[in-house]
Amino acid sequence: MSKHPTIAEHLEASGVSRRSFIQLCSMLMAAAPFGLALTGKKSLLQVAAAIGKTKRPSVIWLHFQDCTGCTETLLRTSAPDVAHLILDVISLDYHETLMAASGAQAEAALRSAMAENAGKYVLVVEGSIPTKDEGIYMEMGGRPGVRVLKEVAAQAAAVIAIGSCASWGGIPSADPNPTGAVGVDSIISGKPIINLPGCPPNPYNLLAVVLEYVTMGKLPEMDELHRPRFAYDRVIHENCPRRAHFDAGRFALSFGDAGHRQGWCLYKLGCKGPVTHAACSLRHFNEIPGVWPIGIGAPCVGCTEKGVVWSMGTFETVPIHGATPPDNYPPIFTSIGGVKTGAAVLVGLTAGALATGALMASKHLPDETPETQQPDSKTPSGD
Amino acid sequence: MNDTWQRDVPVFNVPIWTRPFKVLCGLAGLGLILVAYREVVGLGPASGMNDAYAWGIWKTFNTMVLTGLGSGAFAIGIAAWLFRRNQLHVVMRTALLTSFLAYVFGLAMLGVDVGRPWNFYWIVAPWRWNLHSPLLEVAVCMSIYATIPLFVENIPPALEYIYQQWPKLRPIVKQVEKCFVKAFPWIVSLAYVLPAMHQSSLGALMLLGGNRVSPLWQTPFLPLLYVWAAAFLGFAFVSATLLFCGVMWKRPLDVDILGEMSRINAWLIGTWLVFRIADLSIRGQIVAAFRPNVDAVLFWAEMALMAAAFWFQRNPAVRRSPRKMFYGALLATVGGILYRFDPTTTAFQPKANAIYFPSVIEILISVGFMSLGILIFIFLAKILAILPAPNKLWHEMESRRVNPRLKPLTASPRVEGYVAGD
Repeated sequence: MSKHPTIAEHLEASGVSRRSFIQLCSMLMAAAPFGLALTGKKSLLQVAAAIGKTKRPSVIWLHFQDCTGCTETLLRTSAPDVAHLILDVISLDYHETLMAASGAQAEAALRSAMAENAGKYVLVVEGSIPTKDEGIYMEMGGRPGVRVLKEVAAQAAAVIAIGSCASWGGIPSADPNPTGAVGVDSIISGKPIINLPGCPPNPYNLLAVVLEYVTMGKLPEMDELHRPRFAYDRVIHENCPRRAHFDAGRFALSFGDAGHRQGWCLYKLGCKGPVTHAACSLRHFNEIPGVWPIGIGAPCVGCTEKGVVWSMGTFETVPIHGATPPDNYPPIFTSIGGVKTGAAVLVGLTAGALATGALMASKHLPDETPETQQPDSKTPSGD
Repeated sequence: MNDTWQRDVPVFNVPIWTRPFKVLCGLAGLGLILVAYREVVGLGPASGMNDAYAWGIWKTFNTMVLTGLGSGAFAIGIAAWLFRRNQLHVVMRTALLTSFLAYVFGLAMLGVDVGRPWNFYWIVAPWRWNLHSPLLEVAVCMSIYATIPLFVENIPPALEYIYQQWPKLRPIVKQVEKCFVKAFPWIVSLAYVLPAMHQSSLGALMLLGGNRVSPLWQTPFLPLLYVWAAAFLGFAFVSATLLFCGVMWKRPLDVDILGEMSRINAWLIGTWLVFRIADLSIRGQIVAAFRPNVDAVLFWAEMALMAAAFWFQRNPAVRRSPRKMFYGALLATVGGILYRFDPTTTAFQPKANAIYFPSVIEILISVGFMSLGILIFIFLAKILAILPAPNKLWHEMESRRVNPRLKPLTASPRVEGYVAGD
């Protein structure tokens, strides 16, 4: 086996079955059904072939001010095989949480990974970078984080900012932002940067972006905030499973009320779905349908949007663009009607009038017609 | 003594602007004003409908029930044309006008009843139809039936009027008449297919109601029973109309023709009663008729009315009495109305404890539309040759020249070439 095996070669050597690999490719196609040149191919086998003949991409993963939640989301896929498979497809050469090495050994590993794949590796950044007081609030190997980032990014082919912290600052940047935390694109320029905000983002988004970059040689189509369109072009509200309740004006008004228990819309509880760009409502987490905040009855907090999460109140409702809910919310219980006295009297009067008219008319009708006919009654009379 | 009906003659010896006519105008005007109110404020404030009962009397009574009364043209037409009861042709114009008015105002009521009447025009766009809806069948058939066959069939009296009033237009009328003679077989056959389809679909609608409809009415035969009810309702209502008009305007009565209509009606009602009891027994639901509840009371009221209607028309001897036939026709009409009304409203329970009772505004609009139909009928009966009469009545009208609305005819009293009465 060569020093830089293709993905197919590596999987074969690691004993991964082709079946598992095809399953991963189909999940990838489901996660990013459009917007990628890779998954735009005609069939699953073509996608698998394109991925299989690619050299395993070298990935360097750096942690800054974070909670390691983005790493956890990658590892906590529902089936352990999927996580292993992802780690087999990419060559994760440096990752502080997952590597066994520490101290000087770890520093050496970073340097050797950079030297081996200089200009070719993908840099994944997790966590926001402190910039206040020359970045002294976070150090790696005795150096401020911001300096390490600049050094590693200088030789990277592309930079992926995973999570809201790396994308635009996240929790550490919440007011009053004591460390001066910022996202990657406030520090690095001149490199292709792609943001995958979310707290955490869906791991398939990362996998799709990495594979798209190494197989097709370019980053997927992005919006003005450098988010890939295939996952962030629509707001959660548009494809929310509870959308019908919103349109019908059925809202949960407090946690645990009748509406909340029946799965009604969470907008009135402060759901930020109508302004939050993410694919959560379509692609749930851990490969389990319904596993995402709104699916389990918790309003969306808008974690992918800089101006929403940690800026707006938890129960504050967001403005709606397009269709608005009605001014009067219907009651939770169906009305059942009743009888009004006036109406009953009116029905009686109408029926009585009709019956009287019919009876009076019948008095004027003869009760008998003689059996004998007039002899000329059947012929038309001419007079 | 019997007066044979031979042709249709306008009501010429009564002024148009009578007191009952004014009362009807008042009721109709009030109804139309309230329609405007309902269209402005919406269904909630104007009607007694609620989330459980989305169908009020406008739909269940004015549309579903009163189109049953408007089945005269359908029922009598089939008897006259298909079963060759040729003597019934003379009452066809009465049947056609009542049917036309019942259908047009039934459709107009739908415009008041549905929540978004401004979407109504999509009915003319077949590519937007929901082909899985039985309600579509009702809506399409009813609209086509009212606007094409019934409308066209009601044109001949108007053409006769033009022929008599404006001699200069006679060549045009003759040309139009030629087209009519060609088109009539098609129009007439359409006039029997469409109502048969939509009347049975009305039954199919309630069949979809499932166990929300009381088992006394819910049966797989509901579509058949609905067409059946349309047949006897049509006969009964036209009989009652003819007899009532005879009293009101002192017109001679033809006991032979009325007796023939009663005879057919007695058959329809008698077999219908047997069929209903047999259906209930075979389905094992006859016990439901003996439970102490409102449904059972309504069921027996219906049965009693229909049995009484049968009794008043049962044999040729009773059918010599116009009064008994009038009772028979009225009881059949009321019983048929009850049968049509029960499964849609009173014996229909969409949700436990839910109640629907029409609001005052709903009733007044309903009465207003019925008044409008009646006053249009009265007006047209006084202008056009609608109601049947002996020939001598026409000559009386001619000789007395008392009808300022009709100029005397210079030519033959019978307008030549007309398909008289259809």
